[in-house]
Amino acid sequence: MKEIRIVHFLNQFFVGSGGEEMADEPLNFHEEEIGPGVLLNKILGSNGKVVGTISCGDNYFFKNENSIFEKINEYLQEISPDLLVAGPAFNAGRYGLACANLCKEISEKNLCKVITGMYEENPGVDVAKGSVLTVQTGPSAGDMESALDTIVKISLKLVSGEKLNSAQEEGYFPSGVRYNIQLDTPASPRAVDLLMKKVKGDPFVSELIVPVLDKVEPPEPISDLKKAVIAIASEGGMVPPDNPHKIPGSRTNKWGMYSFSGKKELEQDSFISIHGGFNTVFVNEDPDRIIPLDALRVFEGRGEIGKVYEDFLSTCGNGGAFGHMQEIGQAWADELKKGGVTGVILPAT
Amino acid sequence: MGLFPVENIVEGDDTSFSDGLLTVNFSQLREIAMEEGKFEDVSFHIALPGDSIRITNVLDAVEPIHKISGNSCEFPGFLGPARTTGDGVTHKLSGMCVLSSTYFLGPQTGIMTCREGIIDMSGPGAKFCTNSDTLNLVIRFIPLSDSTNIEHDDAVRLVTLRISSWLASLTKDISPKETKVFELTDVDPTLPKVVYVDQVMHQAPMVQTFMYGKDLGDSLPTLIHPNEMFDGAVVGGNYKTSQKVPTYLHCNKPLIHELYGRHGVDLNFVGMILTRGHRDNQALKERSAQYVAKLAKILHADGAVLSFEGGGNSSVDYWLTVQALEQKDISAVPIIYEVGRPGTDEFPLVYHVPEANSIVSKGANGDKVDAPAMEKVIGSKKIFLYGGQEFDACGNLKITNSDYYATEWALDINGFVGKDF
Repeated sequence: MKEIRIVHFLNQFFVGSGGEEMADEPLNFHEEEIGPGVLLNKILGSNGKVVGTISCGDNYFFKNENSIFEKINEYLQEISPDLLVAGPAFNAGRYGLACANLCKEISEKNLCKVITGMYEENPGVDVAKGSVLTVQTGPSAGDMESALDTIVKISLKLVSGEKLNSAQEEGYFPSGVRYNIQLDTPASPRAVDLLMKKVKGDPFVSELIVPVLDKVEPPEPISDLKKAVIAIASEGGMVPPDNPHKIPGSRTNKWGMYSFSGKKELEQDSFISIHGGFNTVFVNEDPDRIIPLDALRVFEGRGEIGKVYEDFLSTCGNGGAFGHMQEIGQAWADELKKGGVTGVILPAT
Repeated sequence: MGLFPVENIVEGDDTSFSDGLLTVNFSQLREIAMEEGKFEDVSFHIALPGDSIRITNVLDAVEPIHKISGNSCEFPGFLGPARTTGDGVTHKLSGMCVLSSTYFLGPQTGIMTCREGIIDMSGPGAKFCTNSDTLNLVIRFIPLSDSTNIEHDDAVRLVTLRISSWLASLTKDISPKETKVFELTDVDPTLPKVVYVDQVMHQAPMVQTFMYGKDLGDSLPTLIHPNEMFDGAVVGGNYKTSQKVPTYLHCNKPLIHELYGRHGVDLNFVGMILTRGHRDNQALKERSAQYVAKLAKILHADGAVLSFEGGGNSSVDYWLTVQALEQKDISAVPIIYEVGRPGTDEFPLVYHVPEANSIVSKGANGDKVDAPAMEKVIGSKKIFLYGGQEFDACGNLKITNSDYYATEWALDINGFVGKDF
């Protein structure tokens, strides 16, 4: 394999200029490896070498980001390295953000491959997530050797185009993307092994760390129903019989808005459900069972609610991905706000 | 359990079993199948692992078992009185299955639709379906033109079980190649006590599970001895392509084998709780989850492993059960499949509970499969995959893994896992 050529990005502290008092130190280009770069070079051995170092003060970076990017772009085009290593920044917040922002910029411009490393609480982790490969490190430079070991191991794969193993195996932060892998061990022995560890109080690792969901606070009740404009929005898959938006019976990101203006109730076959996850016979027989227009018209007639919004919103919730459903929810909220709706009934299946 | 490993199946003049060779007289079997006049026609086909064969419209797969001694029969409630089974001696033609392949003539809407079940006996799709690794005798049923979907389904189920049982009964006078004793013996009381919680699916016709011949309906979670499962106390009738549990797997739940294998070694397998998912509302889901935890507590369980059949709705029942167990200080490890498509950052679950911090994932549905044409297709040539798209089963199929038969169990058995990248 040919030797890979690396440019190293460091802040003022790691090139030895000083701490906070030197945070305004401007951008500098050095021909040789400096500070942790020496160790990086040593770990690279015959696999590669550091061909240049970029350094910049933490504060200077953020005050001059655009001009810094321009200068670094020019520099990288000139010496065309295979890879830029930023940091590792450990738990240094501004440094971590600088590493993440710089790597994103270089990556978007496609100037070379990039990699950085930091501690899980560094705000740079979130910025880098999904676009910059970030190695998990300890909180301080005490972890330098192990962090650089991992960075080198992954860097060699990045440059040669070799497929990376999972985040956990390689030691980088998950990008959010998951893939299926085939193991030698079926699920059942893995489950019993995991249970035994848990029961005995031994350390264990879950095969899925569940992301935290947003908590939705219920809104305040409608203060005056007599003035309220009430809409119906449902994931029950109710569409006109020709399904004009071609909403499928599961896993959709499509939705439609359909009018029942002028109707007192919904007769059979005026709308049908294309939902693939429940027995649709009864709602097709009487669409009011899921789009309760008949009941709402009674309340409207008695003046107990201001009026019924004459269009209803519809999608199919069956197997819907959270992301898609969030987008639909947002679009519906915009639509209803625009129409002056003050309350929504969400019949679910 | 007396095991009679089947090494080959061939068509012949009489039906017999000897030295691993099952010989089948198709017309004799046809007579049994047509006895009650419930089908327009019935035909038989052999499909072996590695064959260039695609089987379509598969409803169920049944490993042939026959009771030699004991309190009850195999598949009690279907093939005899619903007396408690799980004791005595059972003979099994192991490694083979009887498969039912058919279609329905009545209207199908919403959930009450029989969804396609494809098994590729070779090629890249084989690892995404169950029964590509079993020697299969496929029964192709042609429905009576005036049969309702429910009548036809019931008739197919009964005949498939009956023929399986009849084939296994060929071994009644021969000694098994191997005998396995399954007993929940008293073991070192200090070993952790583990219960298996199995959540199955029941919703409507086409999505059913039977216990002792009766659909689970609104029944509460219940205790069941794992040996009852071996004898066919639970029979599958769920035709949701990737989610379904074939009867073959009800009789061979991987977790039962795993827990039996470790019983008295590093754990104490204290029994099994069977529960259904897709309870109608939150209150019933809550009731069911609480009930499972209560039963587990009665068994003095320290831990529980869980498996489930179903989709998003059923997963709510599942996670509430995990929560209820953990709240009673019973460590719970659920096996799940993810709903985000592989290679995306879509959210992997429909629902979850914060107590669930020890999960085994068999990965996600949605990997693309480019399955080449097979030399032979058993079943309908024209098939409709979930979403209504029509395919020619004789040609190349560019589909996703979840279009195969019982994918989620194939992922389980074949060691798939979802991982962060």
